[in-house]
Amino acid sequence: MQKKRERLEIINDILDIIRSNNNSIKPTPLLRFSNMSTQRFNDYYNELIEKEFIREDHDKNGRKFITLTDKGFQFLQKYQSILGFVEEFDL
Amino acid sequence: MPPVHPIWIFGSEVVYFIAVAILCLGIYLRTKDIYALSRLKTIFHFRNIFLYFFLAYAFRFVYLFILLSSDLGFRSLMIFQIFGMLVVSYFSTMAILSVLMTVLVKRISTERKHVNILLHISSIVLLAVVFVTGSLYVLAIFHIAILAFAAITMILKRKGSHFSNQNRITYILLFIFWIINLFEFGRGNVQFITQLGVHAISVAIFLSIYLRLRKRLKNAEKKGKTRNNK
Repeated sequence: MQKKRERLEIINDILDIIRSNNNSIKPTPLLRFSNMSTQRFNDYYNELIEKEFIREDHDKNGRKFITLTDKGFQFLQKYQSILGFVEEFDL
Repeated sequence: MPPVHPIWIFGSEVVYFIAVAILCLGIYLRTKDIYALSRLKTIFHFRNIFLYFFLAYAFRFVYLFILLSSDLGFRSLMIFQIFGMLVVSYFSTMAILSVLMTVLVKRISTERKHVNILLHISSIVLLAVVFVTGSLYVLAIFHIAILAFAAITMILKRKGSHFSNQNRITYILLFIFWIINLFEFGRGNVQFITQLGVHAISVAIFLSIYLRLRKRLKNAEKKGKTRNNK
């Protein structure tokens, strides 16, 4: 239970950091703000890309920025529902 | 007691099926977004319980409809009866195994890749056993064995268990009332009034799950809105 909640919370935190930075943040500050080891961050980062919650954009100078996709915004909106449901039925 | 006219039995079955179908599909559809976003295996199995129970109850209804239509003087085809029995056996085993997976999946550190295929294969094997024996009682015995296994697992792992008593009871009741429903197939063994009681309790179990889900989601939505507006 704790593990699953922790995992959902971390995903929510990462997405929330991106949103609160006007939906555009570089990978290094995102790693710093998320308070995780590089290895752990990379695991979550790859999962979020794979799930299409975030995407990588490049500006004209080729710098990488991370932004939320519609699915990422949806997750933030529904986060409380997911958490409530998981808790209610011990999933 | 005087025998009940088949039309009354049919009417009660219609009401029962509609109630179960609305509740099962309601639970399945209301959790669609939650699963799509979280992709949690436990939610996947939880939703499958209600999808497969809906299908099992639907074909149970078709099966009983064929039986009752012969009581009302219509000719029924034996082949449809056998088909109905096999489909009910397949979907109900899938539902029961989904309950088991909901209970067990968190205890398995890495879920096997093809666990879902394994569930389908197990259900097909059981379907073959029902086909060969031609008896749903055999199916009920297998389901009781799965129930016993799930119950023992829950009891053995009670220490530090993530399952609240409420959820344990709900899952066990779902099992028990399905098995009673299976025995109802041998109509004539059960009195009409007893049948109505079983139907009412079965619907109450599904309704309690649906209401808990609805309440939780409503509260969560409110909480989410307040949080997002901050």
